[in-house]
Amino acid sequence: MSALLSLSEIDALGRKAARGAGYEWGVAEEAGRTARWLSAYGFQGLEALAHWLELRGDNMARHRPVLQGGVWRAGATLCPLTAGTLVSDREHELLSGRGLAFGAVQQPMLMLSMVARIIENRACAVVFSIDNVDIHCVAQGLFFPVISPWRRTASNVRCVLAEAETPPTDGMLVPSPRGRPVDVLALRQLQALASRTYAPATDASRLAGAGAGRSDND
Amino acid sequence: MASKEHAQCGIRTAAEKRSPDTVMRLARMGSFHQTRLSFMRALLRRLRREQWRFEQSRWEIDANGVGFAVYTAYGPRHNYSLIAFAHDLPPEMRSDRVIATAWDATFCLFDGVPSDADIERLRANVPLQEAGRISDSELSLSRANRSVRLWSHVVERLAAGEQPDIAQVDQVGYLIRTTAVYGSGKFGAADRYRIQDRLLAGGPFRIEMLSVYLTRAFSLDLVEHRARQLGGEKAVVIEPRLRRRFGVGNSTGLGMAPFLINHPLLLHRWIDAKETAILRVRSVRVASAAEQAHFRCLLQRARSNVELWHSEHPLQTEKLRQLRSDLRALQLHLEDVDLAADHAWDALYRWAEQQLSLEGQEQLLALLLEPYGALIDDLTAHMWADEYAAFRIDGGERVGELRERLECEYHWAIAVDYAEPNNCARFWYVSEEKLEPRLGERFDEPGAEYEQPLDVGRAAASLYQALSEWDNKALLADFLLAAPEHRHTVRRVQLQAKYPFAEIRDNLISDDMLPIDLLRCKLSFFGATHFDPRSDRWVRICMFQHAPFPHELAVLPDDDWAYPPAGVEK
Repeated sequence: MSALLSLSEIDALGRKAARGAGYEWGVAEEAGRTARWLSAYGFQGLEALAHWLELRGDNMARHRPVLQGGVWRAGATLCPLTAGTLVSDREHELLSGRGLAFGAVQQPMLMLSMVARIIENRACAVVFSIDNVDIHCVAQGLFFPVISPWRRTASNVRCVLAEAETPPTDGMLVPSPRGRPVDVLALRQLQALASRTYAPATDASRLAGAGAGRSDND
Repeated sequence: MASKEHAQCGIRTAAEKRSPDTVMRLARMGSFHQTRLSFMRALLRRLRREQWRFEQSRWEIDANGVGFAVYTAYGPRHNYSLIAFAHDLPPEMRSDRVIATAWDATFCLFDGVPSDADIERLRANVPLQEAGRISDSELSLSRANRSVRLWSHVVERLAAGEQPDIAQVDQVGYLIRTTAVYGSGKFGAADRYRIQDRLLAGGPFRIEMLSVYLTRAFSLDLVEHRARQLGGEKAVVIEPRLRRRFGVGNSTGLGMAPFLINHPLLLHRWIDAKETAILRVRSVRVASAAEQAHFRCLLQRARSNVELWHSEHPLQTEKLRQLRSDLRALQLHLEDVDLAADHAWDALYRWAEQQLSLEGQEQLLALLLEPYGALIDDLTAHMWADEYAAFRIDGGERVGELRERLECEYHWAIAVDYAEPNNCARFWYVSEEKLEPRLGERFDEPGAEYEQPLDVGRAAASLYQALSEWDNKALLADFLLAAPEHRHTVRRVQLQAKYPFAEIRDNLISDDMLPIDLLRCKLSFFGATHFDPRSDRWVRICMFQHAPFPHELAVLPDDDWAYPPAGVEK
């Protein structure tokens, strides 16, 4: 069972669910944009997010990246949202030719949009590798060597600046603005998390929160 | 900005836009007026220039006024249809508030011309509004309620073969008021990115404005239809000049207030376009005789507009009193100044800064832009934004650089003591019941743990404090890894550095903050008139009043409707 959602609904739900799951607003915003971005490329962005939020539990510190011998690792598997923002924030390292390497990451595809957006307005390419499966990101789209690069868990993830802008294969994947079907179970799970960001109504807030009640039969 | 240094230090010469410290204050934003750049006006100019054709393609409304109608706009590349569903609403269910569940009429704007199957699908969903689902084929979803008194009056008069009483028409200004117009991706509708490359629909809120424009035509057709049903052959239609005095009303509440804060790049583009237009006109060296005459004529029309602008809200009543007095003072001043002198417009605005209230200053600016369509109308093409393009954070920036930005551009925020209860009296939250933004009283109500990140000033001060514990040479990438709670605000501060009008420079959680100021700013860019606050957090407005109807667009003068026509008095 699936339900059709517009990209902006996917974005909003991803953001609220991540916030409801305990992320700070600034990271939750990245989660929403990531889900939207993946959905625009035809991937199951919200489903991946739902899976990660379910798996991660409450102990965030266990999933936070620490640099160990040139590789970013965590006590448990890495949080893909934090790892993704880390790459995005360190674009200066990436663009200067230094690659970024990560240990085990859950739902590594959630990192992809944050990596791909680095070169959105640049004449260069980045290779994002999930367990040695390379995804080439150029300003206009993505190239995949295999039909489905999806992995729930990767034991290593790397990002490097590509040597040439020329993509390795034909068949660039480009985004579409159309709505996408979203799995109903994932949807319910995310909606439940999102609802944690809503304040329960009280009689006072119903009136005062939106302004005084006045007759509209005039 | 003429130069960054000037912008940062607040120095202004004649060759610069007004500074963000002047413009981006709630009191001023809450005094904005519609201008030539407003979306309704830009929309009608394009519809006219491109010779769009309009057709009431379906009219299936029964004797009780229940059924549906379709209005189609045929353009050079795309067609759009308003599908209007008319309902029989018991008075006790009529509410403008977002908590309503039924309305006098419900609408959607369809991308193209709907088939019977489309109409059937939409008939099952559009009347439910938020509780229904629409699809990629639909571009907006909206609803409206009647102004009961004026509706009854007009039906009775027309049915009796008489014209409505002009005083009663002016007292209200519209037959129906929309209570929500949802666009871009809401409730399953097409995402804005689907239409962003279209010339007409790609501009900001063009789809929503087109929907409201056609809704106005529907409301007049429906009232005349009802009169015919009641009066038979005796019934008449409204005389065209009087008919144009009917706009569409709109009730807007807190749901819209956070929009400007959540779309900082878009806000910058709107304000920047307007301030650029103002700068261009203030830079005009000598105004031609025709331009002077145009301005003087519009001033008269603006004065009659204020006479037709009603509000019972004490704040707005006082602002209107000031505005009337300002326009009188302006009129007197014009008797003493030579508008043919060098830089007369700039001198006039500088005089206004000293002599007039904020309402008066902003009204004058709107009037100064009127004669200069050829000089400024191109700016409407720069009022859209891709918020995604400004989303990424530059983690390579140093902590010291961000601290300097905060000191220079968030001085209004970091100087405030947020431990003082009046400086943090409110919190913004989303209600579980309607999933709409609301404003709570932090010290009187539960729920502050659900606070939305709209406390921009307080968050900036908190970021400033956190940065002080870091070495100035440290990278933001490292700071954000350690302190992700500041990610949202770092993004805003970096964006503001590139787009100086992106941030409202006032405390949005203080006890004296007025949400209606946020609403008025946004609605002025839509092109709304007659702002009538009903409390500090919702407002009624009028849209498209005096505008040509679709069938008149080609034959009436271009873009000459935003003020009442000359000779229209109370």
